[in-house]
Amino acid sequence: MPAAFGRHAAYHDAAPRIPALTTVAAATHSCAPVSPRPLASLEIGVDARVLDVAGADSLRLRLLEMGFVPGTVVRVIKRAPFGDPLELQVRGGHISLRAAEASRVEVEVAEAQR
Amino acid sequence: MSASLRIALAGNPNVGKTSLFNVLTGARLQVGNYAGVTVEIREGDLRPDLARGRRIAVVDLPGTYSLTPIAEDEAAALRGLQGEATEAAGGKRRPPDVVILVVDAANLARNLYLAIQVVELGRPLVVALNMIDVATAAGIDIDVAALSRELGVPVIPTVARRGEGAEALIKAAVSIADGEWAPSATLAALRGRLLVPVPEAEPGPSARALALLGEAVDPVAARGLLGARAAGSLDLLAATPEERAAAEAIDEALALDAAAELVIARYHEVDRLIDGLGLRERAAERAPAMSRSEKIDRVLTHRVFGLVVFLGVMSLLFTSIFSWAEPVMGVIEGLIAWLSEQVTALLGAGVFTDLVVDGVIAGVGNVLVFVPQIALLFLFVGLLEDSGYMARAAFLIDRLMARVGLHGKAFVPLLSGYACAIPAILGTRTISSFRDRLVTILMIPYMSCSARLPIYVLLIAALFPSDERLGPFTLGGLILLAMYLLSTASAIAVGAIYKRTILRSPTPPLVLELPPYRLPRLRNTLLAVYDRTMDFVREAGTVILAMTVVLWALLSFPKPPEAPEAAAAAPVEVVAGADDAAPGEVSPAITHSIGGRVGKALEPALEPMGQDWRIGVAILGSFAAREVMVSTLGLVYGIEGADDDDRPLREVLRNAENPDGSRRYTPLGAIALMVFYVYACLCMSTVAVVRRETRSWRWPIFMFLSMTIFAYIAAVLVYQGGRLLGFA
Repeated sequence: MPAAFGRHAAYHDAAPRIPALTTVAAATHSCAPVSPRPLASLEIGVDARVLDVAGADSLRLRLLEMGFVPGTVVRVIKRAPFGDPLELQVRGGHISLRAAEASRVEVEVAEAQR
Repeated sequence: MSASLRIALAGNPNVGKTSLFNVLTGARLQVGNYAGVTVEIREGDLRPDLARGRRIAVVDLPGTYSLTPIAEDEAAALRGLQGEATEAAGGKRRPPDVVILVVDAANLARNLYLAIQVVELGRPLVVALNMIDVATAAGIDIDVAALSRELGVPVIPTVARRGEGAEALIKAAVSIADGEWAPSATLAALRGRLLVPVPEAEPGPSARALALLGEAVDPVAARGLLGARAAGSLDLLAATPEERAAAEAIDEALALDAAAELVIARYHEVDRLIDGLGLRERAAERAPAMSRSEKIDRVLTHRVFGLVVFLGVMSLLFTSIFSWAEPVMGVIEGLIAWLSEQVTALLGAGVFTDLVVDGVIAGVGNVLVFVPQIALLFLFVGLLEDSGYMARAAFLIDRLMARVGLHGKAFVPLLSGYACAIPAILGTRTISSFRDRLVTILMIPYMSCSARLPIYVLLIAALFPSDERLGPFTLGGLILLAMYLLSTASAIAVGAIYKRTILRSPTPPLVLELPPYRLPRLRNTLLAVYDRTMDFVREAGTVILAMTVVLWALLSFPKPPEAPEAAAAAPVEVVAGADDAAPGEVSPAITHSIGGRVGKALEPALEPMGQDWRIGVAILGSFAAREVMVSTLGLVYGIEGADDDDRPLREVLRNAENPDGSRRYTPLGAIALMVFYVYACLCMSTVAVVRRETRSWRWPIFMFLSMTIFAYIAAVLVYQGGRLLGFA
């Protein structure tokens, strides 16, 4: 996903404007190579940290606005009976996304749980 | 005398905004208007004891998570905050004098995002820190003074459900509106960080995009324009041509990057505020009410029990509008009949009496008879929404709805369509995308509503032997089942086709909040039920009433040549000639009317689907409401009251013969007619309500024509195909 990585790099360039959020990603980035995983593949109950939201459309904007901004901790709570959509916990609330949409959110599993 | 004020209420969904609106206005019921096509905006006068002699209007904006105009609800909220150019205001933009932003005190990590966006707009602002009792009970200690200082606006703790804090809130709002409002230093700094591009060696996307928008565009409006450009939704904004042109000149990819960067910058502000308040640890954790909700959800969204409960709730909802409404509808019909008798007795027989009784009073009855179903559906939907279950229902069923390309929220309106299209179409208001709402509205009339049932029953009972069985099932039962399956399959097919053609749009992303479960407030729900029902009576009711009068005139004039009362009471006229009636058959008044003549004129078109002119007249009559087909067909055969007891009519249909001695109505013809009724949009109330909900005649006319033409083609295919296959 070159486009997504390119975008990710753009946020590092903008670091002076948004320090707190980029430091997390930047720190992990410098220590060890981050392996971004789609949020949809996350095991239930595992905390993960948002790295970025992929794509270039209004859904990316919507997901960011719902709180899936880089650095935020997210968790999969459960899957709906037919396997889709997912129930996610982010910023103190529960949000339901379809797996296809949740896959746009790239996360890394938080350090303590690796 | 002080000038009148307008206060706008903004906030996330599920934060008690409606409760606060009802507290502030005392929910006096004379107001309740819906400004938009999709989004309800309510406006009311502030309670006199709070307004203290001033005229203060309160506007309840749609609940949204953000003001980036991605969909209609956010755009409506943004327009409401920036001031929409309305006819009432002489075509000028008049922003509200004060904004009250309602936030959930227990979940600031999520709610402050919208707060930041409202701050960016720079309007006089008061924050209502609502449900402060829940936050306190959960041990969340919010430093109200610090939050107020950081945001630079007054923050008033409230408990809207109990009306606490309303007085302080209004006092703060009014004093801010009266004073020369100037952003405080904090607010100016906060706005500055978000609005003014920081000079950098390498400016970020938002700085570049804002610079491109230039100085012609107000920096506040620029945020909305960038977001709309990024989301491809400039149509939703009430932008000036210059603003629009400036926005369109920006590369879409840059607009997206810029809008995304702004979102991240706002969340950075949110996190800074949360840190300052010492709520950082809380922010990563669930909201307090959520832990109880998670326990409830162990059952309600469980893969087995969840679906069982879902089926139970939906059956209850369906039963209520299908069966529980029946007795109340019976009472209304009884009252209308009683009123008709009284008026007839008072005025004596005559054309004017007929106009009053069969036109006006019947028209009022046609409107009121929907009220029980509409009220019950909105009561159910309101309680389910308020409790938080509706979001779970959408969560459970979304997988199936997504296959058609629709949102999980389309399920309840579609299900309601089996009872009656009118409440079902009104129920689509929960769907936020207009296109998806329209697809759902166009699907609903295909659902086999309860008004079709008497027609199926009449035709099956008249033309199919009741003792014929296929295995354990009666033939009639199987035919009835087939009609329901046909209607369901057709509705789904139609939805899928529209979704891919004239109303093409991607399957809407779910992005659905599962709010904490709360005990619904019956009072709030009843107020919404009242508002919506009265809206139907006012807006769709007038059209239904007018159509009833027109239809009455069409089926009553001209009168037969003899004395009209005699002909209606005791039809004795014998129609000569064998072309349209067997010798010796009577000709009731209705056959002389314009409607009767149109029916006869249509006969050549009806023959290919195996019907005669009598059915044609009945089809015209059923435009009032499908079940009226039975009583109209009764009148054609000179049988009064076929709608109460259709057995005499069954006999007549079964034994009717053509001049050559063959059966006039065949089982094949009956099936063709039933298929016709599955598809045909023979319901003026549906047309009226679609006009109301789409605010134009375009879609109801499209719906009527497409359904009726399709119904005709399908019925002809069934009849001719059946004959080719050897069924007579």
